[in-house]
Amino acid sequence: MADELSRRIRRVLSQVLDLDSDSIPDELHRENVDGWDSLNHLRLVTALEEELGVRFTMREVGEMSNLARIREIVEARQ
Amino acid sequence: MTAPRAASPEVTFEELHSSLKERPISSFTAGELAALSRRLQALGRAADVRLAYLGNVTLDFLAPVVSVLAARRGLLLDSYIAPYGQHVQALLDEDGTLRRHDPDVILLVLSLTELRGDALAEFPALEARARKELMNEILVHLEQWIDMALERFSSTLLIATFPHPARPMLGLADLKEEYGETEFYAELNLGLVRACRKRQRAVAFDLARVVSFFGARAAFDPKMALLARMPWSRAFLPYLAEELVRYLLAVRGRARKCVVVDLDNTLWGGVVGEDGIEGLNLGGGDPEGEAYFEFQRRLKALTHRGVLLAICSKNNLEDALEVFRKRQDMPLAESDFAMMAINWEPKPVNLERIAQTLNIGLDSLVLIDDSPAEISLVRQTIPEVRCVLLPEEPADYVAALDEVDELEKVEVLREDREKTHSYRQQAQRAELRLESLDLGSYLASLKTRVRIHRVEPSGVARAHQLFSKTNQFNLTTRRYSLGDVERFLTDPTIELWQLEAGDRFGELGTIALALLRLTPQSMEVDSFLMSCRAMGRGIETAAMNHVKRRFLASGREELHSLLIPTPKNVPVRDFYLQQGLRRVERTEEWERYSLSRAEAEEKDCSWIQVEES
Repeated sequence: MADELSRRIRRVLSQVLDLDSDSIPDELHRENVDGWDSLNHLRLVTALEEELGVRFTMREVGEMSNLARIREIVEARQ
Repeated sequence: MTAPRAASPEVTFEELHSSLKERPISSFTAGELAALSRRLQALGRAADVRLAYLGNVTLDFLAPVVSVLAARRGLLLDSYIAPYGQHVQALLDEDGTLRRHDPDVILLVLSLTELRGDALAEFPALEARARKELMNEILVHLEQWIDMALERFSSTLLIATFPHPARPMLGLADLKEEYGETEFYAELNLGLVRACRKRQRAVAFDLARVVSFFGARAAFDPKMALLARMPWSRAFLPYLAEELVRYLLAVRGRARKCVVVDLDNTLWGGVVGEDGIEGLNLGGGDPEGEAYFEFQRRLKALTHRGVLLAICSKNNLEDALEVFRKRQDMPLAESDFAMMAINWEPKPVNLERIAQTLNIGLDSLVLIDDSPAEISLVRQTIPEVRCVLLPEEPADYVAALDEVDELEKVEVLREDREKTHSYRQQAQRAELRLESLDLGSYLASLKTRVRIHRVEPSGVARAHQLFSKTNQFNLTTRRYSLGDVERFLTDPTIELWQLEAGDRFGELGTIALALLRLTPQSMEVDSFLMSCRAMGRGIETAAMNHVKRRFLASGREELHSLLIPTPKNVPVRDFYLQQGLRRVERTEEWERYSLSRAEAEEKDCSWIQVEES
């Protein structure tokens, strides 16, 4: 299950941020990705909400700036 | 740094278009839309429409969705999004960004909460007079913006209407208020629609209607409004984008021209060959019969929009015609159809025949049929035809027809209203041609008359329509915007001529254009085009004779013209040679022709009565 969730998150990350989904490191961070600007951040959040059928709060949206934290927030929501 | 995704193999626009065209708009995920719009952006092909987004809401989320849904309908967009909140500054365009983008279409989306949030928050506390003043202020701002945009750019303007709040601040009591929110928004939108109607290049984009179609509760997302000044929900964006694509197709003249329908279980319930005329289910109080009746009415309304109807049905011709003649209760009559292909041949063969007889492309047809087998056969054999498989439930037929986004027009012109009539005349002319012994007596018996004169302001819309839609008889296929056409009328170095025609069967309307440019030494035929239904009777010669007369009158030494071959303009490949022009240069992309004063001889079209003014 954990792997399946990780796969889905990575797929959305790769689609929105134009990354190779096989080479997204666990320590992926907003500061290290070129295209991860504020517009793409919201695109990412919306795409995750849609993919996982959840709705994040504005506070959570502000905190989702790395892969590990995204996972934590998603897991807490599920 | 994280590695970017490996470059995807080269995909052409056509491949992307065909992979998208049968997809329902709700089937795209947000991630997929992001990836697809990036792919479209990376294509090296020239754009079909240059679109500029201006507004005081964040339009960056909408734009990629529009690009993907436009590609789904064969339009490649080149988009520019002006900085948030700078819809006036963008027009002033001090750094020239907008002018460099050279938009065909400018979309303006304003949010009243951003524009006049202060006053709107106070709304319930305002006097009726103050509310009315507020509305007028906003309308004046809009009209000033529109006029400034019209003056500075030759683009077509789309101005979004304002969705009214689903929950007014005064609740139900709002309706009893003088100038409550309900009245305020209704009058504001009406004012905007009327302001646009007065100006040819301004068009109201009815955002309020799209919101109500989708459902206001799901269309807005307050979280996104706060985080990004983007009022719309992710689920609403494709619906908003699809509406915009309808406008773009209409503005670009890329709408389809003819709806081809099946008969049994499409126009009526039952099979005429088995159930007999009286056994067919149509109207008469039966719920299914009423559903077919409504569907016929909806199809009939299309003819008033200038869309042609045709029949493609496997039936005995006599049986089918008898239904139209004996069932007087049918909304659709025989005369509503430009063409009937009723026989036992395969549908793809009949669709080809319909396109040929009406002289329109296969990509101008929409086939509506209840048989999955027929639809699938046509999809496989003639992918250019848009196919609509009717739903199982006849009550849903009307909605299935309304979903077809390729039948839109920005404005219905006189020529549109008379279209079915004129295509039927075309079929009668074809019959006369069969009866006539030779071409000469056929042409003489038509009694064709033409009137050639300069395009006037009242003719701009029709001239623009001809520039946008004429494919076959078009020497250079240069597409000009409404703004360009307006400019042609006042430019002293340009002559734009139109030709109206009629014959013993009726009026054809304005069917040909010649755009002539004067340089100090020569006259250049920039565009020469004619509606395909007027081809083959010498009208083109009458028009070319007129061009030669204008050339001689201009005192210039040489007449130059260009032929730019396209896959569609095959009928005009030899036109200039036939008209006595010399080919002076030929490349892969174009051929240049020339004519000196001594060579400017008129060709015979004595069977046509020509009037010039």
